[in-house]
Amino acid sequence: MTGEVRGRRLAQLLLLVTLLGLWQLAAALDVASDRLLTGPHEVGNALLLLLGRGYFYENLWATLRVIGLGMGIALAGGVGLALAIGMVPLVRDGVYPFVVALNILPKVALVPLITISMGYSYNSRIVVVVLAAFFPMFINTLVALREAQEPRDRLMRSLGATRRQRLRMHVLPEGAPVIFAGIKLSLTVAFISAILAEFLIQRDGLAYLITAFRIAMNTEMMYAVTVAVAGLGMVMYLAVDRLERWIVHWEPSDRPTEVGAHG
Amino acid sequence: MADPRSAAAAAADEGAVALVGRELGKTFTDRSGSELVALSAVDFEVRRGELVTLVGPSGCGKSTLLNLVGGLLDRSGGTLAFEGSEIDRPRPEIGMMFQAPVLFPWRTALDNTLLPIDIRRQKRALHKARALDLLELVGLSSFADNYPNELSGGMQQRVALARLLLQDPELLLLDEPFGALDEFTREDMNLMLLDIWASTRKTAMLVTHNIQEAIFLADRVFVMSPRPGRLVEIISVDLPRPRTIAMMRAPEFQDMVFEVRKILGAL
Repeated sequence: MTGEVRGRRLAQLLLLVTLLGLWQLAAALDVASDRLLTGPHEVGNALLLLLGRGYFYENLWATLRVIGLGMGIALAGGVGLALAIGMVPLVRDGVYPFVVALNILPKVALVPLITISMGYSYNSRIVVVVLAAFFPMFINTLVALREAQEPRDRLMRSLGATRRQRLRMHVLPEGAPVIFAGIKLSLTVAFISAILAEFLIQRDGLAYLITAFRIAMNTEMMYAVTVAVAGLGMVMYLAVDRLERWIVHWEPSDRPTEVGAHG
Repeated sequence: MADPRSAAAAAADEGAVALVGRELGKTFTDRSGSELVALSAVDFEVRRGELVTLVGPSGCGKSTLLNLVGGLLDRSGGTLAFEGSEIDRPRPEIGMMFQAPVLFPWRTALDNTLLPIDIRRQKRALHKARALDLLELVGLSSFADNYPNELSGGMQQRVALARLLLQDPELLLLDEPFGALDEFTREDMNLMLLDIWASTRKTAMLVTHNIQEAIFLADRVFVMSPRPGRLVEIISVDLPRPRTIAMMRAPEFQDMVFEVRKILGAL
């Protein structure tokens, strides 16, 4: 088992090195102009430079704050609202198709509408993130509540469990994997939306930094910020994944797989 | 030694009627509005300390009857009372066990056993020793800290039994508790169940579709017929206790099997 894991890690490392090598080669052979393509070595240096600059952290913080606040509101609202209506089958099943329809709508399409009412503001960006992150959270929590298994619920009822006990001791733990899938999906679309909103509603943030370097024609730094954006995404995703593995410490009968995201 | 007077009182107590159903009926209505009569005009009594088995083909309403007694379903007609009080919702003195173990995968065997304590909001510490004793009784003393997915089907069902015993109900409702297990494990579990029942003398109702099992366990066998579910015959089993597997070879046993089969076949 450990040998298998080690083998997989080695294969992944080999692929990474190969890709970086190809990238460096392409840059060295001048496949494209220097303005478009710059090598990993230069990008690495630019990244080090970037990590030493205060403005990087200011803009990183700006992006994080929008995602954090947006995710926080979406999570509380999505889970809260689902809990409020999810235990009433009639309301839940009535609301469900409308929520799914709303989820399909790409929320960044609402940016013009949002900026009309809220201007090109920081709050507009948070609203975009909340709208995008809310629906996967809400939908997955509804699904988690709906799919709570009947035999376990029968047992809980036969033991005289109250509605709150059934929710806390059965429905929520059983639904935790699906809810976490919702959090991951939310986080993914929140991240996409936050970056897109920064491009569309400029003020600050990592995407703003990319635009700024583009205008300055500093390709190395553009690449470096892009790498930082990717890194940030990975760190956030892994953090949620860790949290899930810590909370869902048992082996669920079926770990759900995520369905496609709509930003 | 127990006080002889209280022993005499207990003996007198035993045999008093604990559970009474009169004209009991249950009709399900599906989404299209059509009705299904699951149980019709069922009359029965179960005495305190008695072990009654319900046998019949699938769809004869035996599980429905058990769910009614457990307070999980509302009856459509008739009366149903346990120890003089009407059953209209689940009651702590009535405990259920199902065909599936129905364990919670995030709880260890011990934590699953302690579930009734958590639901009653009692202190775990006060019951942990007893929970461990019960796990030992069902032969799982070294598996208290294991999660359900680390246990075999038979072991999981033993945890469910330990949980039921920790709940300590006066009436045990067992809905094909060992139906999903293989033949050998089921025989073992039946013998264990009889041992436990003999030492606790709880009133019990057990549903099965296995005629031999129904007779082997029971004081009385309720034979049920399907569509609509009715109680067609009650057979008293006079085999001595403790029961042994060898008794299943006795001619009286075979006669009873034949009798039940005849009743079910003639319907």
